[in-house]
Amino acid sequence: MRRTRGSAILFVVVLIAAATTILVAATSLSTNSLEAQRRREDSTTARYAMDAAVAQIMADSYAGTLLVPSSRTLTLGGATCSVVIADNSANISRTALVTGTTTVGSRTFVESRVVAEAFTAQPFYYTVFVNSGIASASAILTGSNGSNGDICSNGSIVLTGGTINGDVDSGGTVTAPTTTITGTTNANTYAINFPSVDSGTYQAAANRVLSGSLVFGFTFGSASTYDLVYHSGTLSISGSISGNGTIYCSNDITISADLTYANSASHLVLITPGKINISSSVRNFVGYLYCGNQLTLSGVGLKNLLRGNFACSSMTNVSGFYATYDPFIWNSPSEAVKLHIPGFWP
Amino acid sequence: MGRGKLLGTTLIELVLVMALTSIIIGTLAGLFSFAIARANHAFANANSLYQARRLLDQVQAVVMNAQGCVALSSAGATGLKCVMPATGTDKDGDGYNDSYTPTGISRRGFLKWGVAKRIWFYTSDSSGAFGMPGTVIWRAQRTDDSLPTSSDADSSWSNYYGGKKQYSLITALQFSTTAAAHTVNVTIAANQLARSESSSSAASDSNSSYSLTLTRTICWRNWRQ
Repeated sequence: MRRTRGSAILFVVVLIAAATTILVAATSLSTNSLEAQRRREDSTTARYAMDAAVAQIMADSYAGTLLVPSSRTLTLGGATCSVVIADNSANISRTALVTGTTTVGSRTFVESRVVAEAFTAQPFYYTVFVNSGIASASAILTGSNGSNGDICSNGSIVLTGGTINGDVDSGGTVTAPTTTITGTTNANTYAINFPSVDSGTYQAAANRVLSGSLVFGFTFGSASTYDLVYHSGTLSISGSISGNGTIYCSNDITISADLTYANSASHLVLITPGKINISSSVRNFVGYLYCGNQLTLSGVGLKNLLRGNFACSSMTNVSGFYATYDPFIWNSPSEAVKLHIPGFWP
Repeated sequence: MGRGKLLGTTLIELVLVMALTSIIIGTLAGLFSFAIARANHAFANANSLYQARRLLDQVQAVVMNAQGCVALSSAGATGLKCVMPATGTDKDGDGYNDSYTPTGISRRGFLKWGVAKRIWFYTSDSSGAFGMPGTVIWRAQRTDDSLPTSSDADSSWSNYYGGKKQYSLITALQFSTTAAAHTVNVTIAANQLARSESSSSAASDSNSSYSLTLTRTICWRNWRQ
């Protein structure tokens, strides 16, 4: 009788222990699942809060009201997102690093994004810009190692052979079956404004006047405000260029022989509302070239734009050419203003 | 007299109590059975939904960061190849980059990302080689555009520790892409028997199984090289 009673108590104790174990395990499992689900929800909330913060920053950037560096705090759907906006141009030109610290409940999430600073695209940001279409039977080779070789046309582009180290942007179609394009081919893109130039404006602003129509070598002044040289009539130019400055010619320009820089700090801008002809004898040339009419590369054999770019209304590419973009004004657009480049000045 | 009447009453009462008890127990048993059946369906629903959503989220995390995606078929197997940006870091330590930074900016102000590894999602057999018929869900990584082999397949992603399949309830995984819109359409079907934890791929027991199909359209954002 005693043993039977003792067994009953033992059974009850074991059953209660087993039931307690199951209850604790089930509770723990439920709690852990709930916690994991809450963590996922908080992470998602934090990510969306960061997305919203980036969207707001991009909107401010496009509106021209974004301050870099700056910080702000956003409260979105119960999540508080503290955002720090820092200049990232040391890593990637014209970008900002957005670091968001989002607090959801008792948890904190940190996330960083690189965002582009908004700006207006300009013809002089490309190695080659042609306002009308590009139809080149001769090779075009631009840039190197996937950079400094972007080309653009507000019309259609037809390329034959060659290599484009960068993007091909076209307001129409792009036909380049035998061309290597390292970047993105963008057809039917929005048109970039091809600015016009006014001789009177440049003449009035010029600090020097070039009288002769033949230039072999030129040295700009060393003033912090770069020289603006005005020339009336046609101009033939070649030789070594030293310093930073602009030569505005009211009529056509001919690069008659090799045109080079005296040093790596020199930058030349040639502007004409007329035509630019790069003669058949030219092998190397430099500078930011603007022509409101047609640019012609004459002769046989690839010409080499060592450092610069050209923006023109139309282009006739007889010789074929190699061109390397000069990122001087891309990296520092304020220099483009000082160089009186169309689209940046006046 | 009085004693006999009392005994008869006790018998009738006992019969009545037994009958009422039987009715109550029967009702409770029926309710319990119904509740268990509904609970099993709820578990099946939750498990199927959990696996399908989890897989969709994993695919989405990759597609959203991709530079480009393409859906491929081979020998009845379908797969998705995502070309990933050039610069990335592996924050969760699973051997796959999951956070990326741009390589540059276009002349129109768009971020550029470059290209590097290819991450695949596909169905195959237990070998993990692409192009084999099967229902095992695989993730793989390559540095070129070739089809993933069994050595590329990530078994630690497909299986739990011990070898149990992570996505054992997924019965179909299909992809289609729209290149012009930079989008991937992902369709995932999941199925679980309501009566047990085992997977169900046959329609023979459809009354005891729970099936669902999820579809999501995901945009790849980093499409500029």
